[in-house]
Amino acid sequence: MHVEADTIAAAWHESVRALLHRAELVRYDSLRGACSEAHDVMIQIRQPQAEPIISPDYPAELVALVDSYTAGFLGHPDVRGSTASDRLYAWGARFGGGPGINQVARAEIALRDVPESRSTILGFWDPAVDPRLENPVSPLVASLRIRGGFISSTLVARSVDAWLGAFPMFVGFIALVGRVSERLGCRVGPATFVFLSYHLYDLDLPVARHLGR
Amino acid sequence: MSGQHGRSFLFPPRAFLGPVDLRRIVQTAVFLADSVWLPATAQIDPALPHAHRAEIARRFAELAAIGAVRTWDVEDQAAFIVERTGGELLFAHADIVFPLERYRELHETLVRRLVEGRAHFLGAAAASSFDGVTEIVLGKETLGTFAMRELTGCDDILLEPFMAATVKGFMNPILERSRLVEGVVEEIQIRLSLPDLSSLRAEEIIECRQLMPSFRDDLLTYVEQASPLSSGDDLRYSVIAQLIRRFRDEIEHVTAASTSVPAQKSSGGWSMGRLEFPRDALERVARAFFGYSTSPQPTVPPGMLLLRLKQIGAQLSD
Repeated sequence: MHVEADTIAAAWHESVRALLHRAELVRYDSLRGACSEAHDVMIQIRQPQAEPIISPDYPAELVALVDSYTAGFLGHPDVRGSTASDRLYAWGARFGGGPGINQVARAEIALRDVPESRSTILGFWDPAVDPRLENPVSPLVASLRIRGGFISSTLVARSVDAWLGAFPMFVGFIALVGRVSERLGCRVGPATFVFLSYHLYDLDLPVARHLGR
Repeated sequence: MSGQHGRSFLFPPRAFLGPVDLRRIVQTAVFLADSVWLPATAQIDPALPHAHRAEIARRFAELAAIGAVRTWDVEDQAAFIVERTGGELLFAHADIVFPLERYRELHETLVRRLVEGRAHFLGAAAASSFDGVTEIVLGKETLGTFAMRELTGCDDILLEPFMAATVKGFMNPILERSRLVEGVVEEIQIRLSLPDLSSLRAEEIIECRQLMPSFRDDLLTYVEQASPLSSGDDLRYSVIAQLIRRFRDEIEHVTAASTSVPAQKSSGGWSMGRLEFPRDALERVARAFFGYSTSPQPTVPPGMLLLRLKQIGAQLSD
């Protein structure tokens, strides 16, 4: 399944529609409930900072969740305990008691000093820890590239709830790309999301079907 | 559904059902529930061998036919899922179909509750680390099960083990009794060496279900009368001990009262450890017991269900 859209709002809306009507769906009982999933879904957003960002169909009450998830991507001190924040800004800190590796700062240096660098990768998954976590981090790896004054970006995620989880992930990751772009004097270019499992829970399906019409 | 259909349990929405689910549902239908509500979207686990799938489908059809299992749907969701994902629905129709608008209202309420309670869902994980969305998704599914309970009007929920672990903490008080009564019936089957309930024939299930309300009332009374200070294993063992004591007293009463059943002296009686009866004694007591019960008395002795199951188990082992 492949979706292209101009904005975050349109990308979310179109990805749910495509999941409902075009994707090859597989039934699955996850630990969180019955769902229908598509594998290896690619969603490309051409202008991820363009309005509208919030789809009118996304539950307004969940904006607080989007804010806190975004704060994790940005390493905000109020979200201590966020796995994404920990991995991005203090990788490995738990082992030695030191500050850990700030992957975002390293990526910014690499992008500024050696724009053609292939090492501007941000890793989230930690095989020493995640298999033991009850709720391991969903983002797996991100890549940032400067092309023609724009930062184009990719985020690969393990599994994403299309109804509740995709939108916070779009917004959170683009906020991170936006901040890196600002620091480097670039503009935010197209963003690509690859979800290994993109799914709709049965619980949300009746409401999502209304959106998909 | 409690008014029209007696005491009912909601089985949390699942895509696929297998032998473990069947056993758990039969157990609930025999010991606790007049009806167990399943989603009409349910299918048999496709990973099972064909013969097993056919047998499980046949057993579920029997349970539906006797009213032990009932199904719900939300405006042709089951048909949509089959159309988009393939497979075959376990049930030909839903007993009740909720209109989409009603479901949407419930879903909106659920989202509001989810946001209000997100600190709880995140809080449990925050001691170590949290993803931020995964926990909320899990909370959504947990609240969703409660929402479906409200929509279906069920009295109780058959919690999945994973969900049971999740709700521990912030919803523990609500569900403690549900988990307790299911734990008691699990344990009592082991203690009394009762047969595998999924092997019961439909007519045996019907018979047991006629004896069930009295046993269930007794069980719930013991739970409600328990000290508010007791909980967990202590409470479970206390309830089990009371049920077994009651069962033993009833058997002794019937044995003493029945002229056709001589008092048990030597050759065993039975061991309280696992309550293993000598076979002949079991047959005699059961005859007296059921003879005593066939009169239209308003109250069936609570132990009759257990005794009937012991008898069925003895027949199965022949």
